[in-house]
Amino acid sequence: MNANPLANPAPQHPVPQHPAPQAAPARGLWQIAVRRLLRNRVGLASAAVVAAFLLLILTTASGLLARDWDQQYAVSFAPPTAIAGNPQDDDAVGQGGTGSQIDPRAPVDLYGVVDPLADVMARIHGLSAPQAAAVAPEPTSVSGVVDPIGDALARAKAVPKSAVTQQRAVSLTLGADKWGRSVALKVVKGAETSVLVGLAAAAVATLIGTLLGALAGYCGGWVDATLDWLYGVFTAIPYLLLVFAIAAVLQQKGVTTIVLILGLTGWTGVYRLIRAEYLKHKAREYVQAARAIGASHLRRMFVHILPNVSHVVLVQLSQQVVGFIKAEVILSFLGFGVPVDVVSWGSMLNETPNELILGKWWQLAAAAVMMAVLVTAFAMLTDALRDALDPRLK
Amino acid sequence: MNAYLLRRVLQMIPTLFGVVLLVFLLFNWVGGDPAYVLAGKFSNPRDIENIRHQLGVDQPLYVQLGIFLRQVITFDFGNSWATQEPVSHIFLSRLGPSLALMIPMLVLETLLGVVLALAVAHVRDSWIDRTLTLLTTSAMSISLLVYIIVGQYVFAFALGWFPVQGWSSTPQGWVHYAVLPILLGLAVSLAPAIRLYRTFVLDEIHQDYVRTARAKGVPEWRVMLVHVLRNASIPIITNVLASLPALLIGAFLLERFFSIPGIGREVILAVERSDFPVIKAVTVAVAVATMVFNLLADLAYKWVDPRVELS
Amino acid sequence: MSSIESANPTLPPAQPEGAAGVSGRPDHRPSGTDPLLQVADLRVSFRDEAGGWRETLHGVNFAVAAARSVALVGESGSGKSVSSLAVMGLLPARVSRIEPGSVLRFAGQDLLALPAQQRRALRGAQIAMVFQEPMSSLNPVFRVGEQIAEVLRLHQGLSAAQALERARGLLDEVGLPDPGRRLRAYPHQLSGGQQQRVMIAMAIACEPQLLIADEPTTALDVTIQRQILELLAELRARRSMAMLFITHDLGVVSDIADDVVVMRHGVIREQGPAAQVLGAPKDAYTRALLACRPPLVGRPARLLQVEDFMGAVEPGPAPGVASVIADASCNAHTAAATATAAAATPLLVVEGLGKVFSTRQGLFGQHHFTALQDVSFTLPRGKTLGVVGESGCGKTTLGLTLMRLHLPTSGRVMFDGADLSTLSDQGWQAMRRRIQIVFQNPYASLNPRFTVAEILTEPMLVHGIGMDAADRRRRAAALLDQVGLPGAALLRYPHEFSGGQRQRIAIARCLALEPELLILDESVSALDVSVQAQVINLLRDLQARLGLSYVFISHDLAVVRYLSDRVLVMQSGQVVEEGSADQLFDGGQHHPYTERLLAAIPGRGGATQRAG
Repeated sequence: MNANPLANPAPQHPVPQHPAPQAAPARGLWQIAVRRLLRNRVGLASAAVVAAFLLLILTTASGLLARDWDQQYAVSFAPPTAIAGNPQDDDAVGQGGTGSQIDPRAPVDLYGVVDPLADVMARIHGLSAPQAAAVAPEPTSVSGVVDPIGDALARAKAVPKSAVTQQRAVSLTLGADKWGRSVALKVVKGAETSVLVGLAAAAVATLIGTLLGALAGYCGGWVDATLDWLYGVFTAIPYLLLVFAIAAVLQQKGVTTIVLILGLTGWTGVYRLIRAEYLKHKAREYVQAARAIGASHLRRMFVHILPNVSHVVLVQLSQQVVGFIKAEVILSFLGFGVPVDVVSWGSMLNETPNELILGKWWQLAAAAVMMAVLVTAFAMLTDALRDALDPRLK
Repeated sequence: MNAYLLRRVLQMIPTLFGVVLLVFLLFNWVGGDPAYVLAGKFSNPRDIENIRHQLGVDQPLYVQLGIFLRQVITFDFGNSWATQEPVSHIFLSRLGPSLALMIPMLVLETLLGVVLALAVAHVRDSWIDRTLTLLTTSAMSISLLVYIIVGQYVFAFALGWFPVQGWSSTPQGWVHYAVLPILLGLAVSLAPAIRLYRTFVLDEIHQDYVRTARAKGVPEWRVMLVHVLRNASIPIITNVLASLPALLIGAFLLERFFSIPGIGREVILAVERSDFPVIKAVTVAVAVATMVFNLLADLAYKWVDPRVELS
Repeated sequence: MSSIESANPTLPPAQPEGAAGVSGRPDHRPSGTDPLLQVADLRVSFRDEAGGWRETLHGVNFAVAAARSVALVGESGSGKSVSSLAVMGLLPARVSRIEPGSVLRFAGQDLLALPAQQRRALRGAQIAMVFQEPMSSLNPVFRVGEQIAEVLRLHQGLSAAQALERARGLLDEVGLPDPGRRLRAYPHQLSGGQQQRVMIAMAIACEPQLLIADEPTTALDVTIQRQILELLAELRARRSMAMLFITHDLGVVSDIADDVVVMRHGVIREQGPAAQVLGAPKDAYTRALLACRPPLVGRPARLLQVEDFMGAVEPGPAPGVASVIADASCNAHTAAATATAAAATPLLVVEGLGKVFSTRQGLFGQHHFTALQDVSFTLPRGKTLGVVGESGCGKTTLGLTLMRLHLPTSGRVMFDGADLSTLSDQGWQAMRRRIQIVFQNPYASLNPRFTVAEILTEPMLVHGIGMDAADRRRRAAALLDQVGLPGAALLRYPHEFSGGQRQRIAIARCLALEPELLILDESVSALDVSVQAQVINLLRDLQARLGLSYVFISHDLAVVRYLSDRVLVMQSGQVVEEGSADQLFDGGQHHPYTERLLAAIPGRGGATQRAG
């Protein structure tokens, strides 16, 4: 309704005084859909989960949470708190664990690759760490001492400088990875990457697909023929292969790149559906009637038909988000996705096969569960949306 | 019929040209100068100039396009940049393992998918249907990576029921190495298949002719297995045929995890090594296969649906 | 939602027949001479969106005696089809249920107590059914012969070859030429009438005692309808089979039924022998249904409406009583134009109009289809030209071509002296205001996302009518008043209105442009007869008040005759006859095709004396 320029609020006041023929207030199709959605408990629950994720992403994107996800809070492969016993009992537990589990050099080396701040810190570390590693088998004060409050405290100490004096925990809420980074923070920050990529790529793909589909379906003729040729070309190449091919030629990695890759190749499904919808609606009598009263092509395309196919667009958008989140995870897993200084569920999963062999399952569990929850919620929300918006049910 | 075939084959030409153009633009224009990729670490200006000349990238774009078109028509994409193996040889030798993996997967997926979809559609709206819908939704929401990682760890590494990875082209070797990848692939693809085929079946169940069949006194099993299935098989067959070209690229991830020397693994390797000739060849070959299978799908459509007129 | 429903709360379900129907009430206590089918206190509920149960059939009682033919008559939503599906046991599971206490007895058996297995054995063998849409009711992927053979193999255990042989005989019996070849045909290769014959062959294959025919002719052209009705009557007589014939059309009832049951809103209004119900109806609703169809002789100033009988008032001013609040300028404009130019040029002159559609075929070939060929006519101001013909005759193409929604391939259309086909796009945009169209399907012709106010003000906005938004809004309210809808409707959406109300809104949208010519393309065909009468009255009323000219396109001869001054009869894109509306029905010499159309009017002869 918002798309309709006729809905001028100004002249509406004189009319409502008339008694309505029916008692219920006038309800447009959107209001009916919203009401139907509100009645669907599963849909509401999944909408709540999706909203929670979006809120989470807002807090991480704004830097309130998980800004320093790549800090080494804990010892390498520190287990989740729940299965690690109580680390506060005895400092020795922590020390023993640390000493036996990690090679102190490994985190430092790799730390420098991952962390943009690492240069600074590595230089500071460099003063003491090499000797410590070389000389003493027992942990030094840099890496060995237990932080009794665990990652809760560590998260509070978000100041980069704290790294210098940082004390490493033997256990974290969801455990730590090979480099002692908090899995909890990684999985939260990874949600931001995966969901933002999914949303942005879906927006790009749906926009392109809708525009081209509307043009092809409405105009027909050579426009349709040309766009159908383009569609034929893009669908002749299997989707993942096309994405791989583009990833192979594009040397620079980044979130924008992957959004563009997914968006520019993923429009074909939306295009096909919207084109069919426009073909159908173009022949409908209400569009013929609009033509008969002299409404222009643009008006018929966007004021008349678009609101009537917008439910298809919305459901497609929602479906695409799920698809692109999955695709991003695979791409990043294979190393064709986000760069190494960005964490995503895919790059987390990439670390897990080797971890599993060592019996460190928590990173896999965290990433898998987070992703499954979000995708399930999104898929069920899509189903609920489809049901609520279905024009056949009135 | 012959006129139809001829027209469809002629229609492939512009599409194929589009694919060639897309691939060409991607690799020769967007991708920048491949000489730097190829020259690698030991690059000096003379080497690069040499390689540029060998590849023909010092020629104008239209000449390069001509070269590429000739490669496509003769299906001779030269040698792999990484291994110097002829690309056509790579393609042919990797096809076998991919097919050995994918064909049983597709057959099982289709059979199990159709049977389960019919069963679910038969009890539609009951608690069984709702539970299964929920199960498939959750199953689909778990990344296929997780299935493979966990499956490989549990069944091969921890339990030792299957080899962790490897391949052999003998029949015993196939049984030895292919079963776990096939089962995992099935675990991933069965849920979406059931859901898709369920909607195909449900679309038919609400048609008027089903009511007619019941009015004739046709027993319910016959309504489902004869009247509904015959109609639902139209989109099902189309869908299966549309997924056939995917056989040619294999299962990227399964092949990678289980070190199966198929085309999917080769593609991933090629992307990692910027081995452009391999990627180009696979892309064009699969595009051609897709177009051929699309035509086959249309012919099959005519075969299962008497209403379709090929004109 | 329909105006009738909301205006007229029905009688309490406990006494469904009210005062009128007592005499016709069947005795459903067991007795020596049980009827073949007995339906007693049948109540059916459907699940609504909120998950509750809503009763739609409120205790229905009727009986079908062996070898008798009973017509179940009602408008949409009357529950007639639900009743028949309940008898068949084909109500959709899970969303519908038969309430306890309902009785369905067939040949002495309690249908509701039968196990599913035995119930199924009855279907197709003892009770068979023919549906409304023959195309979708036949399985598209099986050959006709296989589908008929299936029922024979199932119930009579015939072998495949025997069953096919019997199927051939059945096709012959239902009058399909060349049955041997038809056995191997797929449903889509047959015409609608032939498909319905196949459905009938399938239904009678096991020689059922009862045939239920649910609107079997509604989807067919009138001449085909006549043939199917005759076939059903003939088969019934030959096989002494009982029939339950469900229809919305009282016209066909006199041709086919011994007894009539009239239903409305899930209750029976009246039942009895056909001659009594049609000739001397006791119930007000039955009388209204009989009277609101346009008569075939005489031409009353307005059609009677259900409200005239039932005493309910429709929302909004009744036509004729309405004070004309509409724009004075609007009326003055057209009235003046009518007065000065009426004698001079006719409004519309069509000369040699032709339309050929070309589709590609094969590699280079083209397929040409001639939709219109050499159509010529003249329409004076303030008059109505009727265009009749069956589906595919080109009448709709004619309407769209007049609107320039199709471009003609030959001939010309002169509107008020200007040649429409040579007009520039700008000239045509201005001309659009003067020619408007009302489509057939009231559910598809209004944009579902627009409010009524948006629907009515859009044409004004496009053509710059009205000073500002408030003025356009005021005009929209006046338009609604003109078509008999309350101003409060402005804020509502199309889906909140009934079919008849939507068609009024569509008419109001046309009137917004103050046109001189309205093209009415099957504009009342999709409406229930009682609503149809209201819209027809509205159209006549508007013509009288605003001096409109109409091109009225319809397959319904009675409606065309009632509304038109002159009539074109079209067949295969050509005009086969033109004459004044009264001439067509005066019994004189006509083109053979016109004769066929006239002969096919349901209830003609038998039902004509009831009118007037």
